[in-house]
Amino acid sequence: MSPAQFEPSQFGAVIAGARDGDARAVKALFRELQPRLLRFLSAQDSTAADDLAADVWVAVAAGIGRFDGEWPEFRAWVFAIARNRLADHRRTAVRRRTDVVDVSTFDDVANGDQTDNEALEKISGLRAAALITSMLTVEQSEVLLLRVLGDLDVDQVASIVRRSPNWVRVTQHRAVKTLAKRLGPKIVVMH
Amino acid sequence: MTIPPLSPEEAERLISAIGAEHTEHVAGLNAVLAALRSPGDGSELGGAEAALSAFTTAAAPSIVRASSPLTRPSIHKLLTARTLATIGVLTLVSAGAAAAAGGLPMPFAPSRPSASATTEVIESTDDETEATEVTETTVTELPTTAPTQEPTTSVEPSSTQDVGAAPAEPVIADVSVTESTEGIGPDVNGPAKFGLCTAFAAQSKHDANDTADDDATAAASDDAVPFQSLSDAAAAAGQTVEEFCADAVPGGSVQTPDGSKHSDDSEGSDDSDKSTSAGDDHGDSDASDSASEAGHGGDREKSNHGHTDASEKAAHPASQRHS
Repeated sequence: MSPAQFEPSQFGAVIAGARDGDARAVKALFRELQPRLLRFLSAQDSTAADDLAADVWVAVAAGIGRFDGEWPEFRAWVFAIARNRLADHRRTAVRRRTDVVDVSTFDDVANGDQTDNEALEKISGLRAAALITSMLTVEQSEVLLLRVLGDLDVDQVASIVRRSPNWVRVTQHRAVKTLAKRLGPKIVVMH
Repeated sequence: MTIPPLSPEEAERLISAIGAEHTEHVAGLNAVLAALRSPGDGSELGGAEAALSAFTTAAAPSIVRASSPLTRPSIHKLLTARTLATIGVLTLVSAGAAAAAGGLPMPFAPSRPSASATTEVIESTDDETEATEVTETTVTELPTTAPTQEPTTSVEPSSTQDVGAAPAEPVIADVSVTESTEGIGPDVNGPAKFGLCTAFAAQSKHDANDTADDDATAAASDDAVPFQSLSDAAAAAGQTVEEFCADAVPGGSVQTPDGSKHSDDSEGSDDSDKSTSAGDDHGDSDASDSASEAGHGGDREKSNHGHTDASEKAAHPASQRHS
C-alpha cells in the first residue's frame, strides 16, 4: 500500500515538517493514517475508538522527534501505539466493570450472517473491520487487521503482538480461510 | 458450494492485495479486504485540528531544545565576559577612587599625607592650648564623616557617579588620614616603655651635656608627645620619670612593682600590625583614650567623645600602636 497523501519518497520531508508542526505535513499523515487507525480501534472497541485515536496522535506528536525510520516503520510505530493504548483501555474497562454504551452504537456493527450482495455493496471500511472482528477470534482479527490496515509485514506484526513470525503466518492463514468460508464466492463489492 | 482450501501463499496474496483479483472463489473476502483499504471518508477524518495542535505544542519545546545547545555556550561566554569586564571596571574605578583619596599604599599613592608630618605640626607648637585647638579643629569634623562614612564627603563625585554605590574603603582610608593628624605616641605602659625610657635618658644626658645647643630644639624634644606621655604616666604614678623607668625591661615585658612580669598581648600586637588604615583609626582612638585614662590629654579625651564606643572597647589599648 502506498500512501495516498504523499509519495514514499516524500516521507522524509513530511516527517520533518510534522516535527516542526507544519500543518500540511501533519494533515497528510493524519489523512493517511487516521481512517485506518479508527477502523482498527473501532473493530475492537467501537465505543472508545475516537478517544483512543486521539490519544495515539498525541503520543505520536510527543514522540515524533525521536522517531527514526521510513514510512513502513512509521506505520508500524503508530499501530503499535494504538495497540498499546487499546490494551490500556481494556485493562481500565475491566477494572470499571461496566461501560455505558448508547443503543445506537450497535446499529453500525455488521451482522456476521449478513453476507448477501446488497449488504456488501454498502460496506464501508468501518463496517468491514467490524465484520472481520465478528467472524474471527480476537487474535485472528488483530493479526489480519494489522496486516491489512497497517500494511505491515509478518515480522512487523509479530513484533507488535510479541509473537513469532510463524505464529503470525499460521494465525493469518486460519483467519483468511475462515473469512473465505463465511463470506462465500462471487461477491462484488461496489464502493 | 465448496470452496477450495486456501494455501498459505494464496492467503498471503489476499492480504497483500497482490494477484488476488482473479480469485473468484474468495471474492467476498477480497471485497471485505478492499473495503478495509479504502480511503477514509469525511466521518473518519474528524479531529485533524486537535492532532495538529498536539503536533504544534510538541514542536515548540523541541525547537527550544534544538536551539539551546547552540545558544547556551554563547550565553555563558557572554555572561563570563560581561562579568569579568564589570569586575575589572569596578576594580579600576575603586582603585582610582582610593588613589584619588590617597588611601592606597605606596607606590600606588604618590602623595599620601604622612601622620608624622602632621604630628610634627602639633609637636612644634609650644603652647599646649594651641596644639589642643588644632586637634579640636581636626576632630570636630570627625562626627560628620566617620560615623556615617558617607562617600560623597571625601571621594571625588565623578568616581562615585561612575560606580553607583561606591565602596566604603576609600572613604575609610580618607578618614584615617584625617584622624592621623592627631599625635599620640606609643603607650608608655606597653612594650615601648623600655625604648621610651632609654630615649628619655639619652635626651636628658644630651641636654645636660650640650646646654649650648639651640633651646628651641631642646624644648621641642622635651615637648615631644612620647616624652610628654612618659612624664605624664610617671606623674600619674606619683613617680619621677627615672623611678617610673626603673622597672622597664627590654623585650616587651614590664616588671610590675610587686616583681612579677606582665607579658604583653602579642596577639593584639599582631592585630595592630596587620590592621588596615581603618583599623588604625580605631587604634588611634583607643590610644588617645588610653592616654586620657592615664590622666593626660584631657582635651583629647574631651574632643574624642564622638568615639565613645571605641573608648569602651579599649580594654587593652597598648596593642594599638600609632605608626
